[in-house]
Amino acid sequence: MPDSSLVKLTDACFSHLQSQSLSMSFTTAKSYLPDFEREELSGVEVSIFPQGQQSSVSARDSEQYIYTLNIVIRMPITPSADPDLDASLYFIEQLKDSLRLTSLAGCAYQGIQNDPAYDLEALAERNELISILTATYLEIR
Amino acid sequence: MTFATDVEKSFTLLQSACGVPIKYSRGDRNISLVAVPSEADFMQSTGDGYIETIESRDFMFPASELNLGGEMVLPERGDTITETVNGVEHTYPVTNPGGSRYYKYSDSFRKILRVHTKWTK
Repeated sequence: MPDSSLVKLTDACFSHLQSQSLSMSFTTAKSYLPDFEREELSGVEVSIFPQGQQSSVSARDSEQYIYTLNIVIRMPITPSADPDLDASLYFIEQLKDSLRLTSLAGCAYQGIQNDPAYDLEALAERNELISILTATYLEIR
Repeated sequence: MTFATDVEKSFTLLQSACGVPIKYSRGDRNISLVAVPSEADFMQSTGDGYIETIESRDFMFPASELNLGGEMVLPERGDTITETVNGVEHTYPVTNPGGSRYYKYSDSFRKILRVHTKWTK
């Protein structure tokens, strides 16, 4: 059975991130159900899952498809009165930059959102940095 | 004897009956205590595009026993509690569930502390 365009894009993003060598070592996974257990987190984990797609007519004989992927970055943070996230945020920027202007699975890069930069509640209550990159891609067919 | 001292004495009985040894740490300072743990509870958090569960556990001990570096202190962010279970150390950072405080008093006289933690390995 052939894969949907969204799944092909997710797979391509997974392979792309898996091949990156960045300032922190990390593991990558493709996931359809981002359901995590905090006590299992011992290193940097990057999970990619398809978020959605939109289509609209772009010309008489073609449509444009906008695909969005969520890339969830999770890492444990050492318990501290005032956690230091400098290295973690730099890593997230590197990860984001690795996707910048890179076409994947025949889809053109449109941009990435990372707002908020990290989940404040996860940091405060679970000593964990969770950051979500929402990447958008365009395909015309 | 006041009712407040009765509370503390009664808690000592509870400590000896079902307390567990723990290490309470703040930075490089730590102290060994006997605490009465609550049962483990699992809490779910949902963010924008993910679900996460975590084990939550409270530890109770007399406030007067939390003495670090010669002074009585109260729990705060960055502190950890380490409990050894079947020879394996479990470290629980002190946390503030739902934006609340890191602890509460278990009695009206501020004798017994109930410290909130979450297991993060």
